[in-house]
Amino acid sequence: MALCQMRLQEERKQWRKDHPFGFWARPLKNKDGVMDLKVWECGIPGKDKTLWEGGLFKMTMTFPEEYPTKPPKCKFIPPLFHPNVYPSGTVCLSILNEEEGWKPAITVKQIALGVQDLLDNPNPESPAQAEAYNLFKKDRVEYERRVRRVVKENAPGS
Amino acid sequence: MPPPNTPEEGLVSAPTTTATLALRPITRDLEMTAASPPTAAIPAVDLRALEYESNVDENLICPICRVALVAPVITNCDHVFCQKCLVQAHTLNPVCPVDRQPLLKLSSETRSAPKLVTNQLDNLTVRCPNRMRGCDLVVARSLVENHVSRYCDKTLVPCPHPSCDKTIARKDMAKGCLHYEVSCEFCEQAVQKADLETHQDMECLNRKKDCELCGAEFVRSKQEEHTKECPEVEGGRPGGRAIGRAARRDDDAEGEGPAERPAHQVPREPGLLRPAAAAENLSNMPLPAAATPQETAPYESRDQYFLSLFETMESKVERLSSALTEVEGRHSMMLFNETMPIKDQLTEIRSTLGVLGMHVRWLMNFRLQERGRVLGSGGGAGGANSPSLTGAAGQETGGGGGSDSNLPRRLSENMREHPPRL
Repeated sequence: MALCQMRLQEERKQWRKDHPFGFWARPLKNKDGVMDLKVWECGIPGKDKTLWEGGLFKMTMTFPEEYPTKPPKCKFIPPLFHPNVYPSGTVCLSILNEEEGWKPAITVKQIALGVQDLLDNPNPESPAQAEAYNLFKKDRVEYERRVRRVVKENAPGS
Repeated sequence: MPPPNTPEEGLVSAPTTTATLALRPITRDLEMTAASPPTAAIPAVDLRALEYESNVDENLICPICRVALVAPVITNCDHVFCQKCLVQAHTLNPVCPVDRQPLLKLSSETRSAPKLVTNQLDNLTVRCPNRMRGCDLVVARSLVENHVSRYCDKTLVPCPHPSCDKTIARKDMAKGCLHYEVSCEFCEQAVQKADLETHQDMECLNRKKDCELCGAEFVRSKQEEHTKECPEVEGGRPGGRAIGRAARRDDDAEGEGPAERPAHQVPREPGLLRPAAAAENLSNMPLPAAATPQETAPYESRDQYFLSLFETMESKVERLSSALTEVEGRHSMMLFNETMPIKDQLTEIRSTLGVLGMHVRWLMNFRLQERGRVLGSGGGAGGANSPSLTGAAGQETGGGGGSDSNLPRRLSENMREHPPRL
């Protein structure tokens, strides 16, 4: 569908022109070295002055054929320890849900910023993995310890 | 470059005017991927693929496709979209793509956007989609379709040869079918005659090109090595040569000083394009006249070519000489800055030396005077002790004492005349 490609090209142009500090995002290359605009790889840094500061988390955005009418699928690789990230790594976020908050007007930049915000503001209303959710609910100290370990594992340059 | 809205009748080549209406121009493929199939059903210009000359106001951008609106429609909830985008979005989900209010029937809940919006969109200036093939026109968006389908001589049209189904740039229409293979004289690759010029300008691995980012010149086959060492390359994907980057380079060029300007501008003027390119590749290409003999000459005569060559050289020399003067000035300034403190220090040392000398002299004098006094008193005592001795002897000793005490004084006078060199 031309619309999807056109929009992604525009998104790429905009991202190259201006993107928030610490983030990176670029379309993946397939086997032949040709850019595949429908799959982007990106890096989401933890927000400063939060538990997540210092981490850089790798995520892929997979854009469906119906994009921008349908939202892209965001998936942390490897799956992230977070109450709103499914064991597969998929992010559960209202603006990424077609039935909830997704609008075609949401840009890649807004998605990236939204996911960054989600890191430190988990939504206990929609848990996606048992482990992180239970710790978050019942044992905050252990939860924070785990988060710190995840951040250390994902520090850029390590 | 003519300003937008310039009537373009002057560009029309006489034999093609009548034929052009029936000819189908081919839309430009965005990323220059050469092998995109000609899309015949699409109108002459895909307005969404256009490159806008300046930044488009956020209010004129469709929230669905994120480019300037094409055929805008407005919903009852006052949101504006491209008509095509809204229809597509609506078939998947019948709500407003911005505020998610239900839109049950498009026909009753939308109307075309106010004239004000369409007028603003029509006035946006865009670059001719044939820019990749060398057309540098910037024109209002409402006129670009007309330009491409009728006047732009870089538009691809079907080959005039009846049994040939390929396409060719409109300017080469009169030359007959150019779809036979020739070998490029630089890399010996077989290319179609019609593509030879583009091949040599854009692809040929044995020709030099400028880096889009840092401006350095290198042979195209060394692209990868250069990308590794290019100071300007983004951490991301170096091969992702987006139009945005080229546009940014244009912006950069505008910001540069007047000395830089001519060098950038010369190759852009269409008339001078070939000679400038030839000058760049002089090492590969001894004489363009010899290299491309049977092509209709892009410049009318050898003289003209050499003149243009001379012009580029001259501008280069000018730039060099101004750079030299600058360097010279900077050097003398640096030298001056360095010698000044040394001079100061020298004066200071000299004055310290004077003071030191004075002290030494005073001390010496003092010492000598002491000794003289001791010696003088000794002589006086001797004289007093033997007054009965001959006066001559007394005078002798007195004279001896006198000369003894005179000697050091002379020494000190010597010192004063010839101060010790430190």
